[in-house]
Formats: sequence, C-alpha cells, structure tokens
Amino acid sequence: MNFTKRKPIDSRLIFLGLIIVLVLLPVLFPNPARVGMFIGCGVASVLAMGWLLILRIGCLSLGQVAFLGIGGYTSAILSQKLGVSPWFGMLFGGICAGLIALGIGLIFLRIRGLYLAIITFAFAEIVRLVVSTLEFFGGHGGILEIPKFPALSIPGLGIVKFDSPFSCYYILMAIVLISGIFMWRMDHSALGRTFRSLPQNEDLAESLGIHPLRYKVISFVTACFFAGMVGAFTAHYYGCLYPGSYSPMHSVIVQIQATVGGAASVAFGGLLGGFLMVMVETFLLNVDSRWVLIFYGTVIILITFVLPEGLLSLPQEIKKFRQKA
Amino acid sequence: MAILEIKEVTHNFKGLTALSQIDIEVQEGEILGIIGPNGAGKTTLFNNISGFIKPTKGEILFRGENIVGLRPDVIVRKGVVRSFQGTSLFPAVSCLGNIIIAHHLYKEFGFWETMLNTKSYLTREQEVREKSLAILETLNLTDKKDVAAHDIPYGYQKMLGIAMALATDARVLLLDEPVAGMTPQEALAMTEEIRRIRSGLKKTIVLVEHNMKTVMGVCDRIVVIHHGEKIAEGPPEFIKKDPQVIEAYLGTDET
Amino acid sequence: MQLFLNCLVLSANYILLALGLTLIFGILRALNFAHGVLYITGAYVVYALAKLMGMNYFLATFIAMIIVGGLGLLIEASILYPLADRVKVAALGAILGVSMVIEGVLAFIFEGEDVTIGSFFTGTVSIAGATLSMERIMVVVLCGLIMVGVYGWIQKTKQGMAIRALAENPRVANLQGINTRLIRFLVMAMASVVAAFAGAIVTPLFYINPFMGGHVVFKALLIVAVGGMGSIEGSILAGLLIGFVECIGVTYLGPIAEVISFLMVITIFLFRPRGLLGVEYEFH
Repeated sequence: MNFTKRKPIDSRLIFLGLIIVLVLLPVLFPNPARVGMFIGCGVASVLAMGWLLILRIGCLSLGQVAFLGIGGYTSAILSQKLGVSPWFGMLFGGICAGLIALGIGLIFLRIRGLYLAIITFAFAEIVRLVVSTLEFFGGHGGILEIPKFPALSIPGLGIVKFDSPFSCYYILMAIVLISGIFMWRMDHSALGRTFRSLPQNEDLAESLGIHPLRYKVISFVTACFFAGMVGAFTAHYYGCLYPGSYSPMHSVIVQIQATVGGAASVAFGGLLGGFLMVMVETFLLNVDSRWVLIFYGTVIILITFVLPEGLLSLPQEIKKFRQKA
Repeated sequence: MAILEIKEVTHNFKGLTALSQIDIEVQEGEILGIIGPNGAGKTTLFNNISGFIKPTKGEILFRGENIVGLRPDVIVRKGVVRSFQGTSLFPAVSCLGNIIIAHHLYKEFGFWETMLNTKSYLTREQEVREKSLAILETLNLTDKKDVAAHDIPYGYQKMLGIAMALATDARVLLLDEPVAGMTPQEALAMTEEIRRIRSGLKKTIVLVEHNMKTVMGVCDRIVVIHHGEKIAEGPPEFIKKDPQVIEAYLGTDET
Repeated sequence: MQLFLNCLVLSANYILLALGLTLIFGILRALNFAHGVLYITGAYVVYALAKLMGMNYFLATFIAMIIVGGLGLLIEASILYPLADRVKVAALGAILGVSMVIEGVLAFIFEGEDVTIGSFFTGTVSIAGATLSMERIMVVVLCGLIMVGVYGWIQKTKQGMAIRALAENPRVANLQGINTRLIRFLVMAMASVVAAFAGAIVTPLFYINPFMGGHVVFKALLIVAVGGMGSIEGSILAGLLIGFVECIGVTYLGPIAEVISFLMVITIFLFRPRGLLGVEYEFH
C-alpha cells in the first residue's frame, strides 16, 4: 500500500470531471424515467460508498439498508407528525441514523470478523421487523403521503420548485457529492491509514497507541450518517416508504454493487458500482424483472473469479496480464 | 524508584494459574531479560503489563502509577510499548507505511484537523514522513520503502518491528523474542541495536528470549520464570550457575 | 402440548439445516449460504414432481434429494473448493451470488403464488389432549432419525472418523492418506441431501415461495453460530433453543417475536462468542 502523497491534481481533475458529468446528466437525458434512474443510481452510490468505508475497518456490513430505513422513517415521521420541513428532515434523518450507529457501534464493533457481520444483519432485521409491526411506523403498509420537498426561494433563480425528478436529482447530487468528498477525504487521510491497519493487525495497532474502537466507530457512523440522509431523501422523493424495501436482499445488493465498483477507492468504487449496477438493473427491469436476481448473482460470481478487486482494478489487472504474456 | 514495578502479579485463566505472585522491579536504563521454559508464562506477563489482559491480583506500577486496567493504547501513551512474537507488522502495508502508522502518537491529530487538511495536519504529516524515511535509512530499507512488509526478508521484518516500537517514543520497551528465527549474524546485529537503544536513546528494555547466548550477552539482569513463578533473579553469571534454573532447563538449553 | 409439538416441528426443520451447515463449516471451512436455496430447491422439485406431474411423493422426494445433492456437489466443485484459500469476503460474495441465481431461476419457473402440496399423511392422532396431524409427527420422527443417523455415522464409522480428522487438521489428514477432495464431496453431498429432505418434508405443511431460502439459511446460520461452529451437539441444542423461543414467541406475540431470537443471538455473541458448545475459532 502506497502512502506517498498522491499528486492531488489527478484526483481533483477526476473529481471535477465527475462533477461536470453528474451535473449534466439530466440535461443530456431529460427523459423523466431516465432521471428517475439516475436518482436510483445516486442512492445506490452513497450506500455503496458507505459499505466500502466500513469494509476498510475490516467489517462486512450486511445491514446497510437498515440505516437507509432509519433515515427515511425518521424524516417521514418528523415531517408528517411534527410538520418538520423535509429539508431539515434529511439532516435529522442522517443524525438519527448516525446516533443509532454510534450506539450500536460502541457496543458491537468490539466484536471481530464474521460474528460482527452476522450482528449487522441481525440488527437490520430487527429494525425491519420493528417498523413493519408497530403501528407508529405504519406497519406492513409503510408510510404514505410523505410531504415532498417544498419550493425554495433561491437568490438569482427565483422560486425553485422541487416537484419533478429533474429538480430532485440535484438535491441528491448535492448529497452524493458531499458524502463522496467527505468519505474520500477520510479514506485518503491519516484516518483511512489507521482504518486499514485494524483488519491487518489490530493488536499491533493497539500497542502503537491506536484505540481501535474509536476508529471503527468513526468509519461506521460516517457511513451510516450518509445512508440515513439519503434514506430521508428517498422518503420525500418517492412520497412513501415500505418496510419491504429494506430487506436483507437489498443489503446484499449493496454489497454486490460496491464489490463490482472496486474496493480500491471508497468514493470512486462506490460511485462506479452504484451507477453501473443500477443502470443495468433498470434496463433489466424493463425487459423482465425476473432477470434482476439472476443478474446480480451472476455478476458477483463473475467478479469474484475474474476481477475480485472490482472494476477499478481493471487497469492494474490488464497490466499484469500483459506482463505475463 | 524503579521505573516499572510488577508487584505480586497473579493471573488465573480458565482454572489454570498462568502467573503466580510475580515480583519484579525494573530499574530505569537497564536491560532486563526474562527467561524460562516454554509455557512458563512470559508472554502472559507481557500481555498483563501492556494491558491486553488484566492480572487477577497484584499491581503494575509505571513510574509510580498503577497501570492495571488501562487500555493498551493508553499504556503506550504513558510510556510502555511492547512488540509481539513473530513479526510485529502490518503485512500488506508498505515498509514506509508501517513506520508512518507507528508514529500514530507523534503530535496526535484531531478529527477535524485531519478532515479539513489544515496546515498543522499537513506539517505533521510531512514531519512524520521525514522521520520515517530517516528510520528506514538507518535500517537499510530505503530501497524497499514501498514494498509490502511481508515481502521483505525475515531479519528485516524483525528490525522493522523494533523500529516501529521505538517510534512510539515510549521509555520502556517490552520485546517478545526479538531474535527468534534469526541467523547468528542477524542476532548479533539485533543485540547491538538493543544496546544502542539503551545507551543512545536512553530507553529501558525488558526482553523475553530463548536464545541463551543473546540473553547472557546483552542483559544486565535476568529473571527466570517457571510454571508461572519467579524462581531466580540476578546477573547472568549468577543465573548460569543457579541449580534451580539448570534443573528447569534440563534438556531445553538453547545456545 | 399442541404448541410444544409445533415448536418441535419448527426446531426439527431448522436443526436439519443447521446440521448441514455446521458440517460444511466444520469440514469445508466455508459458510454455505447457498444451503437455504438447496432446501427450497428440494421443496420445489418435490412440488413440481408430486403436484404438477402427479408423481408419488416418496419418489419425488427421493429424486429431489438426488438433484439437490448433485447441485450441492456442483457448488462445491465450482465455487467452494476453488475459493477455499481466498479471503472469506470473496467466497461469501460468490456463494450469495449462487443463491441469488438459483432463487432467480426458481422465481422464473415458478412465478406466482406461494404453493403447497397439501397433506400427504392423512389422519390425526391424539396425544395428551392435543390433536396432531400424522404429518407433523412423521416430520419430527424423520428429522429425529436423520439427526441420530448423521451423528452416529460421524462418530462411529470409518468415514466419519476421516471426516472428523479433516475437520481438526486438514493438512495432517491429507498426509495420513485421507482423500480430502473426496471427503469434501461426501460431506457436501450429505448436507445437500439432508437439506433437500428438510425442504421436501416441509412442502406438505407450509406454503413455499422461492425467496424463503435466505430467511431459512440465516436462521440455520444463527443456530450454528450460537451452538458453536462445527459442533453437531451444539447445533441440535441451539436449534431446539431458537426454534422453541421463536415458535412460542410468534404464537403469542406475532411475527415481531423473531426479534427475540435475534437479540438472543446478539447477546450470545457479546458474551460467549464461541457459541454454547463450540471451540474457539479464528476467522480471517
């Protein structure tokens, strides 16, 4: 692993390019269904990025969507029952998810390996069962008629309405960019370095003055905060929430999307995986929804055997291949 | 006052007594050797001192302060660092990266300074990098700085491990089998290094070893542990002739 | 009493799966998430053959066991063995992938409503004032027989000993001339067959859908983890524990009772990570 200061120009140029592309996407493909798909891509990306960030500390999060749900439900209930504006709702959704992540993180992140993965799964299931049973959370039917984003008065643009996929897309992109930059920065800083040391030799890290739990919690809470925020966004964008959309299957799909993207870079891997997979998935849904499951299954099997480090490792692998030949 | 005092430390584990009433005083600046047959409890003692496990009874005082019950990373901050048996490294990280990580305690940085890439953070990172490169230079590993740690020769790995322990700037080093698996030349280089650390850097060293030649050669004093109990203590010439020690080691002498 | 027996049925079902998982884990050192899908495939094969094609139930079950056994072997040969040395994350992904593919295929073929075969064994029996269908009693009896059979086989026979040797120390077992590959196949086949059987006997009792596999295998995994990875006795014990807790909970509290089993599992991991009867095991 190379800790030499990466020439910032490279990454910053790529970032700039990405930002431009992301901003222009709905302009280039204004079809509302397309934009809707891009929104799905963005949501998946944030989740995938979070998943990869958690992977850095050596934890396999099998319950990522639980925090999506926590954010969503928090914001939905706050806006429906307390009249909180969805704009603040998103923030609270993230905060709530982050706090819960903090709570369970402090207790469970001491556990290592597979058991931790099982616990993330168990937690996600507990959340799902709770929200699908208790009436307060709307039970099986979920929550309907969640307020959408109210119009804002933006200086220079006048009154901007957020009632179409087009405008909501930009809200999401703001979240994607903020979370991407935040998680990228975290991963590339001394924090990321410390994260990586933990799965390799936690005892040694501890003996060098690193407090493992602190760093695991930082990674976990960050990932879950953004997942919560994005969850709140989806609640207001779609206007409804169903517990069924936070099932274990969805968590596995997050894992697959992130793995396909590539663990080399938290931000880029997550973005790549999220966007690509959702685009293919949407295409397949239009053809025949039954293919989606088979698709995801085949993809992960292929990736595991052919390109285990994900698509980001393609350039390296091609280089290695050429060197052998 | 001794820099490290182990007072009546007992450690029971699943019905077995790993350590029983261990009393050791480590004087500042000395090189103390701990020897004993396999399974005698030496690593358990290190684990207790460095905070990975807690003694069932007894106290461990570092500069007069009881460090029992403190977390390992807190104990390092106070000034006691340990290395592990085998190789004490982050295997997939580069050599340079390993040493950089080991400098974790150097001018500790806060969360937001890191995230916002502040001037002080950048300065600190630069300093750590320079210090680490300098350390690699003294270890003759400059050309391997970007090589993953588990890809360098074993002898170098052990040296790297020691360098990492030093990077914590702790006053007391607990070294667990520093010359295990080394060739005689490598072991000699290591003992030279240990002496240098003591006199040049003014550190106190406690080491656990099986290699008698090393132990007799480099330690000021030796403590012998057998079946979890201290059975002898004294300078090397003394220990060599102690009948109890000889009996405990019958057939397991490694020179 | 009725409750007790219902719980027993549930437990028995879980235990059969847990047994397979724990064996696979103990010997192949792999977490076969695909086990649930094997179970459901077994159920669907029986359904397809017995209900749709009118085949005899027992014959259908037998064929299902063979098909699923073959499927299991395929998985072992193509996925588990090649990935045996890889990091757990990688193998996990691939196995999940396999389950997804198979689930997807099942969904493709059998889309629509949940299905069931309907009771095969007719008649009821009265025990201690509770009425039970013969069906359920047969299930418990058969499960029990298989459990005893598997346990006895592992403990007593030569092959069983070879398996246990492999579980303890793969390298030494190899040196002793034990054919590792063959043993792995044997274990996988056995576990798959048992899974298919568990699926088959359950079809007459419950409605099945292609997605049950994940749920069921996760329960089995919890049981294996709680009972102790690789411990057969542990799986049986934990299976009874979790099965009963869940069954009683669901009867009185409804579906949310599953939370209790999850909480139980979490608690056990916190305080006794190796499981009730397990041995310490390091994960990569």
